[in-house]
Amino acid sequence: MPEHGGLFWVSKRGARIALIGLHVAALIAVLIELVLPFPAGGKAIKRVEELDFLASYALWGLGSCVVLVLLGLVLRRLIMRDEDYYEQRP
Amino acid sequence: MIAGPFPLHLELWPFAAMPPAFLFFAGALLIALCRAESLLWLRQCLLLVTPVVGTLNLLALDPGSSWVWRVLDFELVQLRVDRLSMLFGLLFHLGTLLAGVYALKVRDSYQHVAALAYAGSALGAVFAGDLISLFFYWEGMALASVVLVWAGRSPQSTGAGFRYLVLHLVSGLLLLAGAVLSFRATGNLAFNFIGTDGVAGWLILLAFGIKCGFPFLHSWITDAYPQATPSGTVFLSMFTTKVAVYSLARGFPGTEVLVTIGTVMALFPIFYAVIENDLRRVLGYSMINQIGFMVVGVGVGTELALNGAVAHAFNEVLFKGLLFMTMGAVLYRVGHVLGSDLGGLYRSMPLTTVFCAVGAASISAFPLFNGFVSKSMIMTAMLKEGYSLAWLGLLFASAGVFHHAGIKIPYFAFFSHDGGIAAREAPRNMLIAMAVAAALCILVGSYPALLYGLLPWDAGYDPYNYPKVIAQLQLLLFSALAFAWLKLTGIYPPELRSVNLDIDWIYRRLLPNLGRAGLRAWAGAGAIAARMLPGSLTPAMRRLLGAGGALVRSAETSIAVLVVGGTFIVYLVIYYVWNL
Repeated sequence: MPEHGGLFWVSKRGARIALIGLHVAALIAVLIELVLPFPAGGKAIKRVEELDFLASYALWGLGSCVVLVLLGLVLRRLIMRDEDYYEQRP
Repeated sequence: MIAGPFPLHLELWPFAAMPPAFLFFAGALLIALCRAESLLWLRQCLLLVTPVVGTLNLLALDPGSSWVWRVLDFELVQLRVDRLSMLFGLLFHLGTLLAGVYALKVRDSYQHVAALAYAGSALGAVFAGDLISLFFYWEGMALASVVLVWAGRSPQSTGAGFRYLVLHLVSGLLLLAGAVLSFRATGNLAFNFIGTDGVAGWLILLAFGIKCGFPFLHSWITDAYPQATPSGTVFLSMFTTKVAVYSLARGFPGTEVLVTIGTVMALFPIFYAVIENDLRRVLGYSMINQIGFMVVGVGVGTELALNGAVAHAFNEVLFKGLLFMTMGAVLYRVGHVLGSDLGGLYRSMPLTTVFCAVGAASISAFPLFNGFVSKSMIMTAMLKEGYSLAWLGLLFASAGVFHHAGIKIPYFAFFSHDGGIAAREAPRNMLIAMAVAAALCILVGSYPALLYGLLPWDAGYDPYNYPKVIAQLQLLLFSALAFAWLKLTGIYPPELRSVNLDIDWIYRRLLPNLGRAGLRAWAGAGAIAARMLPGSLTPAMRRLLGAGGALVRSAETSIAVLVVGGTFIVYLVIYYVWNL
C-alpha cells in the first residue's frame, strides 16, 4: 500500500518499480534498433557520420542531460543571487 | 509558393466578411462598457462569443487583399488573406477561446478588455498587407498586453510591465524606421519578402527579433510572464511571439543567419531552466527554446522547414498554453509556483497533474503528442539541407526540453517532496480549458493530417515511420534515465529560492548604477567648481552655476519634461525651416 494513501507510483515501492520500468523501456528501445536495424538512409543521424552507431540517439540523450545539469551547476555558481537581489538598493 | 486557398471555408457568416481584428476590438469595447459588477455575466458571454463569431467571419474570408484604405499616398491593406495568415488567424481564434474559458471567472474587467484588444491586435498584424498597418497592430499588441502584466498588481509586475513596454515600443520604432527606409528605397510598403539586403531589412529583422526573443533581446519574456496574473500569462504566451514567428516566415524565409540565431535560442535557455526556481519563468525559458526551433525552420526556408516552423507555432500555442494554464492553476490555488516550496500536489490537484503531464509529453515531442509531429519536420528539413551541426545542437536542445519542461515542472510541482500544501483542484472553467487543450495536443499528435492539411506550403511529410519514432524514444528515455540517476546520486541541483542574473541585469542594475555614479561625479564636480570659481564668476553666471544655481540644483520631473519637450519642439521648428 502506498504511504499516506497517496498514488502508488509515488510510494517508495512504486517509484522503484517505475525506475525499473524506465530502465526496461530504455533497454527495449535500444534492442529494437539492434534487432531491426534502421533502413539505409532512414536513420537521420546517418548523415552525421561520426555519430552513426548503435544507440547513438540514446547516448546523445543521456550525455546531453548529464552535460546540461553539470554545466547548470557551474552556471548557478556564477549567476545565482538572493531572491530579493533586484529589490535591494546597491 | 503558398499553395491555394485555405481548405476550411464556411458561408455561415451572414454579413460581409471583415478584418477579424475589428470584431475583437468591438468585443473589447463592449466589455469596457459593461464594467458594472452586475454585468459580469455579460462580460463572460462576450469573452466567449467574440472568438466564436470571429471564427464564422474568418472562415468566410476569400483569398486576396481587401479593405484597402488610402491614407495620404499610402495604401493600407487591412485584410490580406492567404493560407499563412489564415492558419495563424484560426490559431488565434482558438487560443482566445481557450484562454477566454480559462479566464472566465476573472472579475477584473480591465483584463478582459486588454485580452480581446491584444488578440485583435495580433489578428490585425497577421492579416495586415503593408508595413504601416503592421506597425500599428504591432504597437497595439504592446499596449494591450502590458495591461495583463500590470494586472499582477505588485511592485514587481509594475516594474516588469514598464521594462516590457519600453522594449516593445522600441521594437515598434525599429519596425517603423525600417518601413520608412524600405519605402524610400523601393516606393513600396507591401509586407512580403523583405530580406537583409539593406539597412531597412536589418532594422525590421531586429524589430521582429525583439518580439521573437532573440538572444540578448529575450529577457522581457522571462521578466514579464511570471509577473502577470494566471490567466494573463496564458494570453501572453499565445500571441506576441507567434506574431513574430509569422512575420519572420512572411518577411525573412531562407535568411541563413536565422539558423544560427535560432540554434542559440534553442540552446542557451535550457541551462537557465535547469537552475530556475520559479516554474512560470522556467516555462518562459522553455518558450524561447521552442521559438528557437521555429526560427531555425524559417532560416532553413524550404517548404518543409517553413511548414515545420508554422506547425510548431500552432502546436506551441496548445502545449505551452496548457502548461501555463496548469501552472496558473497552481498559482491560483497555492499562491506561488516556486519549485523549492511545491510538491505533493498530485493528491489535491489530480486532474491538473494529468493535464500538466500531457503538456509535458507534448512539449517533449513524445510520439502521439503534437510537439513530435511539428518538431520532427524542422529537424528533417535541416538534415536535408545539410545543417548537421545546428541539427546536433537542436538534438541536444530536445533532450534539454524534455528535462526541464517534461520532467522538472511536473516533478517539482506535483510530486517531489510532499510540501504539505492544502490546496483544492482548479476551478471548473480552468479544468475545461485545460482538458480541451490537452485533448487537442493528443488529437493533433495522433492524427497529424488534421494540422498538415491546413499548412501553407505543399510538402508531403510522414512523421510516423520506424526510425523517427524509435530514435525519438531512445533520446527521451535515456534523458529520463540521466535525470533519475542524477537525482538518486544527489548531483541534481536542488531548487533554491534565488534570482539568476540574465541580460536584464544590464538595464536593471548596471545602467542605473552607472547613472547614479555619473550623477554623483557630476554633483561632486559642480561642488568643486562652486568652491574654486566663485570669485571668477560674473553675477549672472553665479546665478546659473553657483550653489543652488539653476543649472546645479535638481529640477522637478515636470520641469524636466517641459525642457525636453521644448527642446524637441525647437528642433522640429529648425528642421522644418531648414527644409523649406
